[in-house]
Amino acid sequence: MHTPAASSPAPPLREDGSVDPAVDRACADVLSDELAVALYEHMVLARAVDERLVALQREGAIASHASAAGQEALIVGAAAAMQDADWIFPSSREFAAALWRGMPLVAYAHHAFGTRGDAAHGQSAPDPPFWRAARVASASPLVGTQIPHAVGVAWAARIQKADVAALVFFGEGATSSNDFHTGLNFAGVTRAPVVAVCRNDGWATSTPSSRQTASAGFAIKALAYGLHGARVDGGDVVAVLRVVREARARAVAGEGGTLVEAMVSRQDPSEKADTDPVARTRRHLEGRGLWDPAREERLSGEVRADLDRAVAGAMAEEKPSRDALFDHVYAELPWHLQEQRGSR
Amino acid sequence: MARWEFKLPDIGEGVTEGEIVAWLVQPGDVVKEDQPTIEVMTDKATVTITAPKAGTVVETRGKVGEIVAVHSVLLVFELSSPGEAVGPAPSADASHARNGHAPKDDGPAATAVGDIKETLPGMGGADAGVGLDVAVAVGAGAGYFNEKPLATPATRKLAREMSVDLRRVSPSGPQGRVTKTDVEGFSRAPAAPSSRGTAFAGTALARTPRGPLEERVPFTGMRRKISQKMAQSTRTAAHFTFVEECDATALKALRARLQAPAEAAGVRLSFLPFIVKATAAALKKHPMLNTTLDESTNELVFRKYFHIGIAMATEAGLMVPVVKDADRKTVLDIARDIERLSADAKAGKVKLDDLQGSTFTVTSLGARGGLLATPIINFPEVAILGVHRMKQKPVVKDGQIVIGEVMLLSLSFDHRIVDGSIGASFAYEIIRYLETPDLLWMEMA
Amino acid sequence: MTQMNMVQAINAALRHEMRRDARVVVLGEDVGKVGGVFRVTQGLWDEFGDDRVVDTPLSEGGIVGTAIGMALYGLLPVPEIQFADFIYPAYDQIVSELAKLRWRSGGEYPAKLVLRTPVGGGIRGGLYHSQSPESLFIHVAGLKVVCASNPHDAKGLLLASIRDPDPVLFFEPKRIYRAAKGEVPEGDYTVPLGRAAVVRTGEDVTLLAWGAMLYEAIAAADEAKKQGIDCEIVDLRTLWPVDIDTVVASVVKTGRVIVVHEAPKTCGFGAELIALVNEKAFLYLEAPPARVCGYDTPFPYTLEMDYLPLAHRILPVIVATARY
Repeated sequence: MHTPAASSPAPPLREDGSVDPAVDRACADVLSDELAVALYEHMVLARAVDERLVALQREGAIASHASAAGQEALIVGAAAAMQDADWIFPSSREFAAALWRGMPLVAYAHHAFGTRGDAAHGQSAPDPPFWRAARVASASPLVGTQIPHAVGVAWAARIQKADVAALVFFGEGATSSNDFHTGLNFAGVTRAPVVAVCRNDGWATSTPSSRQTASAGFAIKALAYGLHGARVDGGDVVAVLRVVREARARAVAGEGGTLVEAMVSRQDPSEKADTDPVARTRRHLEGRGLWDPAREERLSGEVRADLDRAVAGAMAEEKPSRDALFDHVYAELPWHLQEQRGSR
Repeated sequence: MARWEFKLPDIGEGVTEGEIVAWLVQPGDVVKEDQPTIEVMTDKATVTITAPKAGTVVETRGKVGEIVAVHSVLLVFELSSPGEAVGPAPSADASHARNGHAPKDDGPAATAVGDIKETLPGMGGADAGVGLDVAVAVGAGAGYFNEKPLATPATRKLAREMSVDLRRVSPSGPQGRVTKTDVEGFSRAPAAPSSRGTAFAGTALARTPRGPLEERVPFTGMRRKISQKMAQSTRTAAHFTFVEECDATALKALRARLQAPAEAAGVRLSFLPFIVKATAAALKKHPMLNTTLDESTNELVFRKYFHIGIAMATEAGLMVPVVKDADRKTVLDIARDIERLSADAKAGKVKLDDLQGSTFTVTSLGARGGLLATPIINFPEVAILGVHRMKQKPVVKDGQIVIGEVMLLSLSFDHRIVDGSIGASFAYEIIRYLETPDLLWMEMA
Repeated sequence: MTQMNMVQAINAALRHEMRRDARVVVLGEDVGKVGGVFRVTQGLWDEFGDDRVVDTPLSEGGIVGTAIGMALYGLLPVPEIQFADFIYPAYDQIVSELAKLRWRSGGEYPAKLVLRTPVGGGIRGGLYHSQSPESLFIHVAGLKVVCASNPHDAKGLLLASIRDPDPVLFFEPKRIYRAAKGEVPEGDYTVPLGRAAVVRTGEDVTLLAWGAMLYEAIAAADEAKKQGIDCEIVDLRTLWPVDIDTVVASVVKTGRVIVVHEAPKTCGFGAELIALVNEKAFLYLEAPPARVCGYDTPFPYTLEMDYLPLAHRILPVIVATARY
């Protein structure tokens, strides 16, 4: 049995959710210069994409977008902590994990607009996108259903003795779902190498955490399933990186999965600059001499240009053909769909 | 000693039933493995079935002439060596097990609910086995416009109330339906259908008691199959026939010249191989004549292969063995094929494969020639070439009457698919090749 | 060839395919050491071990959800739901995820598994061990539903289901698990999905049935024969996608059709079959298509033999339809 406190390797959180800067700098050794810069660039990209898609939704150009503002460090950090052959199961918000794994912005734009150029042929909602080439799974907006899928993938990898783990994201609201319970229960019993990241921003839509659970937080629930638990400052990309890496290493060593509770701030991050994870990460890079305002401006310009191009391309693209509606219901078109499509 | 039931096996593609032609064993006979036991006729070919095991025949099921379904029991054996028993016959087992003495299996675990019985009444039969492939073959009966009339339920109700047999009513509605008006009109003034070939009007023949004035012969076997096929063809295709003369002088001379070299190659050369070759060449130029209509998908299928059926009269009846890929064979090859098929047909040994797959048929219209014929298309092809025996006749050449070698061709086409002009063009193409056989040189690949 | 019952045939199919294809994994409640509460998976754990024959926690949603994950990874799971009556906790995973993954990912994430479960009553199982929920799944795009009636088809259809690229629900009519016996080839063979079997030809009335009720249909047809009515009996085998050509050809031939199923009448699969018959064979109908089904009540315990559409209920409908 593993107690969350004993196994939590995360730097201790202060009451206001911030981390002791001294500890912060000490973690720099887990983060190489290239990785640090790459993480930051992707977080900036994620933020820019998020703001643009929220705007497009407000204009009515796309139907929906699940904003992940304030969660960039958590999402990009956790994704970066996994290895290439690992699987990632997003919930609605973790498009940034797909971008980190190489999904081109253009592909995401086509997916958000549901065009003919979309891998899903417009059959999926804008979020979350999937990216098969890098094992970022297709998830539905139903809360929690992806959790047993992630456990199943991890379990299968364990059966095949592969050095592969699964990362799954969800919000605290999912911890009340059937699938959370059964997924983590199976994970405990099978020792599937899964890292389950639960984002805790104090709310599930309009329900505060205090009404979501009577447990003392969410990481403690790991105890019940025989999993490791950990709690981390979700705004600290270094801490996230370290916690998830350790969880992954434990998992593939056969020591079982981990439930990571990541504290994030829901409030508009631009209002609280010191808790904005993007800003914090930039300060970290500046502290290490890896960043400066000129680079910032160049990055902003590139990101904006790429984004403009991607969105313009998607908006100009046609809808999928009507026949595409019938593709992929089954591997081959059965007679009744041939008739309905009008080709029998 | 174990009892064993032998069932009619799956003999070939699409075969669902067979007719018992002859029993070669009877109850009480001791039979060796592989000994012939029964002759069964399937769609076209007669097959001799041999005993897969040795034993004594206890029972034969089915009379000669009876149609039996694939997987139905034909013979019951008492096997020679108990060790070879495949297993007790299902019916025997069911009656034994009904007493409740089924072997004790591991019972269900404590968590299982329910009472799963080892046997249930009525579950020993062969019916509960593998299904049959069924080909629905419907023939038109006497005096019917349609064996399966189309009519809405409302019209059927009216017909029933007016005691009208829908099959006898000429349909005038959309999709070939019998309408209410048709039914009402019929009940006032019934009109008989005029069908091609056989013409019956009125009700079926009343059964008279057997006596010296009538002899009743079971209408079975090949005869019955031919009857069904003919009816199907005339019922579906809109037959029209185009007849033309062909000046066979050049053809006759060609054959005369080639007879000796052919014999040297071991082949007896008739006119038929040349006609088949000319037909294949003409089909290539007029592909519409080599099609078939797939009514299930509503598609006209253009075949890119040319298998020519050769209608042959045999003692058992009409057979149509097939010369495959006639376009790619030489005249000698075709002649050899025809010889082989003809010999097999006479001996009753044609293989199923040789009777299937034709895309066009050629029929020779008899030793005495005839002036005109309206051959029936070999369903589901769309045309048939009837060839009359060559005769000497007066013909006009350069304003003079001379004696010519004339071969008449009677071609029937399915007018649903082949328009008159296309059929005629095709006919003239064949005639062109036969009248000037040298043209085939230019076509040879 | 060997004489087997359905339990043995399904067991043989699983064993055969697990030997042939290392990706196949069996999972479910009590399927491993105990070999399944109906002994269908008996001996598999002994041969293939913990990694490939898994006793799972008691959670249908978890069984199906994790099996989906295994399928995404590249294994070929054959999960079992112990009784179809317990399938509902997994309904969300089946309908929302399993059925839709291929489509919503543009074909990039097919989720292939075969979900086996015993269905049907007549075993004194009561409300929650007797249901036949096929309609609830046929109605969902992306799923295939299969139900064998005899050991030969059970093995062949299960092998075909495992090899089919789409998710398949393999319903096993538990009432005839042991009572249905027949010759089963020992080697490799499949019975194709989407193909019905005409188990008896006839001219007068078409009976459409599957599973345990096929035998009731046969018994009723035997009785009807004594009254001069010649029934054609079609065992659907694959419920969806159904072999519509065989069904229609039979109705065109006889002009009269009766569907027999255990599941409750309203919105049962019979309703869909009759709608299809009306669309495709309307002008050939001599009598209204009929259904003999379970009543629109929950499945009873004491009165189950009154509930089931047994031969004594089917026969009068055959006669009425034939004489309409």
